[in-house]
Amino acid sequence: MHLRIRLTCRKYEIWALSIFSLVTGLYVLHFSIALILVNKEVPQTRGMLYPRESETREVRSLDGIWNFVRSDQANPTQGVRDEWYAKELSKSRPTIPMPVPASYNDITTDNLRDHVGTVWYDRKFFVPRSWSKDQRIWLRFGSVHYEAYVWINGQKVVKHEMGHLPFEAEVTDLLSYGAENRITVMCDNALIQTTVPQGRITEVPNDGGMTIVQSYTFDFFNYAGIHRSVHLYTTPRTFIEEVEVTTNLSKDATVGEVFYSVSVNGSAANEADNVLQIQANLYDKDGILVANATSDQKLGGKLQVNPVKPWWPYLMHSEPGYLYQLEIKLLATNDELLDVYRLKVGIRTLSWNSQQFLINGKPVYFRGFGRHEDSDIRGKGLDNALMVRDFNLLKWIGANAYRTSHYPYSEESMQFADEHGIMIIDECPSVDTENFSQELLGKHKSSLEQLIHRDRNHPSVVMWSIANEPRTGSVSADSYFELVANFTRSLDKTRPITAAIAVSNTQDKAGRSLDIISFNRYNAWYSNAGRLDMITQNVIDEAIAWNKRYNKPIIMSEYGADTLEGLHMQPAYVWSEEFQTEVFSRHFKAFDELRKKGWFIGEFVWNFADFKTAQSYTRVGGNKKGVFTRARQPKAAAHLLRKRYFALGRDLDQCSFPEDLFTYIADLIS
Amino acid sequence: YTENDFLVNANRKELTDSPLFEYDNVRKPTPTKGLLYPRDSETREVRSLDGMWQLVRSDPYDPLQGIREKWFMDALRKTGREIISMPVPASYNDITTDNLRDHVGTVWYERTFFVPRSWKTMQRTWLRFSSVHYSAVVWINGRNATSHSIGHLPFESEISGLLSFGGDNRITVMCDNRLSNRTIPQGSVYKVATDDGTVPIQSYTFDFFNYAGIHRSVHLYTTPLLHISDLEVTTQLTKEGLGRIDYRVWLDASKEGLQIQPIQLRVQLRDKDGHVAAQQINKAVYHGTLLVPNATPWWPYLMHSDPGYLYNLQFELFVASNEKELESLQDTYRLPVGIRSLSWDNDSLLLNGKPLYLRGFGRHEDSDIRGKGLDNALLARDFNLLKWTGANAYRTSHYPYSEESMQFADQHGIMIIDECPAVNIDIFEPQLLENHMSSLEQLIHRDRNHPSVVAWSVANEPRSNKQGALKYFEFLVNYVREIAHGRPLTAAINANSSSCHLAQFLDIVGFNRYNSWYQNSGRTDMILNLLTIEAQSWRDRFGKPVIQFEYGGDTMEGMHSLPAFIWSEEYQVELFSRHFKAFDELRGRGWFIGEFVWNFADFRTAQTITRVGGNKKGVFTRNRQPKEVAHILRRRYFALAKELDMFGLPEDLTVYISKHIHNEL
Repeated sequence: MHLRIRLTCRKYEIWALSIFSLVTGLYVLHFSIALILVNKEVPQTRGMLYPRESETREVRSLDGIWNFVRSDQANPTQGVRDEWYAKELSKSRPTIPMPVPASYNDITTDNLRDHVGTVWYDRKFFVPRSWSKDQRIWLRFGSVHYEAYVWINGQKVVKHEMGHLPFEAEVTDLLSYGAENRITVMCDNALIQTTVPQGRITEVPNDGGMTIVQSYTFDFFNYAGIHRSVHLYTTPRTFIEEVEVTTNLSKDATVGEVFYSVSVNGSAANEADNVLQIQANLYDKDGILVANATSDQKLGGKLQVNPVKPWWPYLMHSEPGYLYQLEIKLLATNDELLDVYRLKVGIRTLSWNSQQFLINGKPVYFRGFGRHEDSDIRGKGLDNALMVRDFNLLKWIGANAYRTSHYPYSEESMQFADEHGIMIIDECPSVDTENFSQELLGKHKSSLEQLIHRDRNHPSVVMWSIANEPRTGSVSADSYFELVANFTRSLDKTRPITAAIAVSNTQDKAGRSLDIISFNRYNAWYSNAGRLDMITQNVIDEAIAWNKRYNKPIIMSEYGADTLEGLHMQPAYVWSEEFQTEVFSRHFKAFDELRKKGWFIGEFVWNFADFKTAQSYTRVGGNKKGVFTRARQPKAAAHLLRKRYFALGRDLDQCSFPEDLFTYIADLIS
Repeated sequence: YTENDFLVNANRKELTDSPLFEYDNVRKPTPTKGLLYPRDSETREVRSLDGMWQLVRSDPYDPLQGIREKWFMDALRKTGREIISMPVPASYNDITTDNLRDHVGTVWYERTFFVPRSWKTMQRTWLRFSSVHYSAVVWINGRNATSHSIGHLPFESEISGLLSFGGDNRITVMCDNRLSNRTIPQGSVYKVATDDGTVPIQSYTFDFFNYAGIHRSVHLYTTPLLHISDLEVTTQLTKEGLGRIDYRVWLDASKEGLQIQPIQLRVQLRDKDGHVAAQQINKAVYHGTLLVPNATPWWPYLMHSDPGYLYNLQFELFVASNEKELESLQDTYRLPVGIRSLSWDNDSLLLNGKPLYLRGFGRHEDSDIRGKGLDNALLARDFNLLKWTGANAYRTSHYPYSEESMQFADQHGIMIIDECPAVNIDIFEPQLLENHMSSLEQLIHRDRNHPSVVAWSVANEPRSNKQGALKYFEFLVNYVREIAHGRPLTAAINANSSSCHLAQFLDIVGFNRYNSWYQNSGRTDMILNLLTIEAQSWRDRFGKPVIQFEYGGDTMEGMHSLPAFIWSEEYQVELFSRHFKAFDELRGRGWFIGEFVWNFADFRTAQTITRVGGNKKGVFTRNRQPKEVAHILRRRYFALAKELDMFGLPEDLTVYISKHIHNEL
């Protein structure tokens, strides 16, 4: 009890340090210069398979309306000291209803939106009596931002930091079976210098006295709450804990190989491993068995598929996103079925060199978006309807990729990308990092370890992005990013590593550690605002400079301009739809020059849709750089971008134009 | 049904003078059974089938192809048609980028799910849909499970005999969005020539988009073989503060369940802190009365400091165990209950003996992307905005809203005028009357236990000036009165008081009128007198309490004009202000008991030149942000609360301007 309180209090003790640091900037600078980074071990994630029902497993959702309490900002740990988790939350404070999954910020009409500190959730649920026999029960959260502490029936279950990634714990012995149970969650949204992403907490005077202010440099609203689904699921006592899959494709693309490796947890596994077997069955989309194998002892093996249907990206093949189903059966002596777990597998191969990135032996040209998980009312909360709409729009526009800027997106969206052949540059939550401390390094590596653990089996994930716009000009960035990149490589040697860099190529110290260089630049916006005639050459020159310096493939990962839908001005003026269209067009000219050089392999618009940010006089209701509005309706630039992306699709992949790509004007114009 | 039900006689003249119908052979609805809201308990499991389903769109020219070709017998993928990922619950219309939005006819949904082996023994498994619009046919593993129409109401079926326990199962749903003369609401389907050939066009006169799909949650749930299948609760509160709950319980058993001998029914009422406030044990009797001394009443928002107080009524059914004389728990079901009294006379509607003045909104279930699909985040936001505004009521215009929203209203003390889906009905066919009665019977069955429901609305803007309306509504209202479960009947009427054939049958007269909008556009000086004269004429003619259910003007957020010009935010403010003067004049007359804005938020409609992206009469935008008038309305509603209920004003109600300007309202 005391230790947990201490862990909680420690975060807030750092506030004082932050205030001190603000006062003595010189001290901070000195500290940075002296920093020596040490490569330390990162805790290894276990389990965390996405919950799926089977003959041996049940899944129960705890989504719905929960009870919610906001702590006093001045006293974020009161709930822990007063043991609010020991009884119903409504007995400690009046509660309000709060939907899960959702951010809590935009649900009410008061200033919960800008709350800093802890909030509390609870709800009750029944667990069936049938679950009490020979089963283990797990509680799994898809995402709680930023930090979560969880109790069941007043007993502590788990703590997790890193808001965008899942965590789980076994709760078999904490539950009441055939009866009502209570789950309590404390959620803390505070960001400090050693969280990923970084922020600062300061105490400043306001009209009512003193108040806590959360500040951060990243450009999206720090939405908080239980953002993704909460699941209870059962496994057998001895169960499949992990499955790792890698795939390979023969050069003529006729033979596919699936390598699988299974980890088992439970008493049977501990007693005598040699009695356990894995039966692996691979089914095609029509449910036809195309390969199978039995493995014992090592619990891993290889499946060969001939002829194979490879996983191809959207527009590179008439049947993109082809997925097999891998059925893993855990068998004990006498072929007794212990557990079944199924996952989708896409068979593809990746390779890269200093000039190209190839999938299934074919060079890839990425075209797509930086995005956010963001919408009205729900904030960052998981929403199936929004997700389907977004993927429909991605395909409508002819995009083949997106970056999960600036944090891991939902597991459900990763599954969707697999199914639709949309390639993902999978980014960890490290955004706008500065102050490269030892503790931050540990958290950063942990976020990548958890991310790769969660997403390694997705064929749509073609690259890891280890940071967005870190201050890579600073002295310690060199060793810091070498450590991060090499750590990432140690986790996954099958995918290249990139990062989205915003410092100039002459100042950057991270690029040498990467496989692919991505850069963000806003010509005619943050630089040379309004100057449409100062885009094309600047983009070309910068991309060439990056390639010359590092001799690696180059992607432009962000460009664009804020646009207020409905604003029209001729000639084009900033914020108008005409301006956004013109900004894009001038970039297209640059990209087409760069594509001829061979090493320019991708263009990404910032952003897919308008999204909420912190309040600033430069943000009109939020960031308006979206090609679509926040309500997912197109601005004029969306139609222009669609013509470009499908033109690239025809040029590079020989796919045909959609019938409605062009608007009929006259017979003379074809 | 057959195709002919959806095709209309092209001779339009017949529509204008529709014949008088006879209702001698009209059959009253078969009473609905069961359909309790699915709740986990010690004896029940609930499993959601919400999530990602697969959708196939039928050819609009051949909506029944899937039936002939038996698409339900196998995976939809085998049809060879395009598979579209589709979220459930959601309307399907705004999810894609093609014209699925305007699809007319059938679509097919499918998903697979596992059922635990433990559900196979000693239990029954039920499949329950809260809403599929408009009509649904459902198969499990290729075998027919159930079908239903009237899209806004739940339906369920036992599927124990269709399931594969411990294995994978497939559910298939055919959903048909077509509306005809006999559906509730009415519509018609025409074939028209387009540039791409002849296509069916759905037309309707109501002013909201005909969103379609699996709109609310799909649940699998288990019950014991013998289980509590239905509950009915009626409450009263005496002047001395004694609460009375009369309850009735229905049991249902499977074939095996018939062997089980019930011993007793234990009924316990628990307060919010879990303390037992009353209890009763019944043997071989399944109805009873609980008396609650010093009951905490259910009060509406702003009439009490603890509005929406709910007890938990727990029903436990005990049966004989293997050994004689010992009892074992067979089933448990818990129902939230609010204790209140409701009464009315020719001047007032009274709750717990106190006269009500209803102030609130007409609304829609409507939002970006999801259309009419159930959304907990939107629900929570909407109720927060209702309370922020100081509203105490809304009408579930123009159809039954989700069960979850009814629960929210109970919890928050928001009163509901609960409306059936009969909107703009015009051709008073006997079959329509049967469907209309059925929709009200199903609605009342679903909602009768909710304390927040204070009246039933039997129609919105029917063509009640038509000669055929008189017999139709006499028949309908007489039927509904038999099942009204202690609540008054009302309707939202837009005919003239002098020609209306419906109002005479009602307990409360509601009317819709858009002064300085549909009539006298731009003339905000032509509201006050016309409105007070009209309300008085309804009163004079029918002698009942009167409510204005709709008023307002479309407003483009961000548009400003001085002086006020139509569609501007200034115009909306001025229009509301003139109505407020009229309402305050009318309140002084004693029988005017409510004012409702049309609408709470902007919403989607069919495409017409008068709808700029949809209906823009919302006080809030479609994504739930306030227009200027929201703040004005808020000050009014809280001023009424202060005057009528002595409720303190929120601190942030007024905007500081100057030290010398008093902030009294």
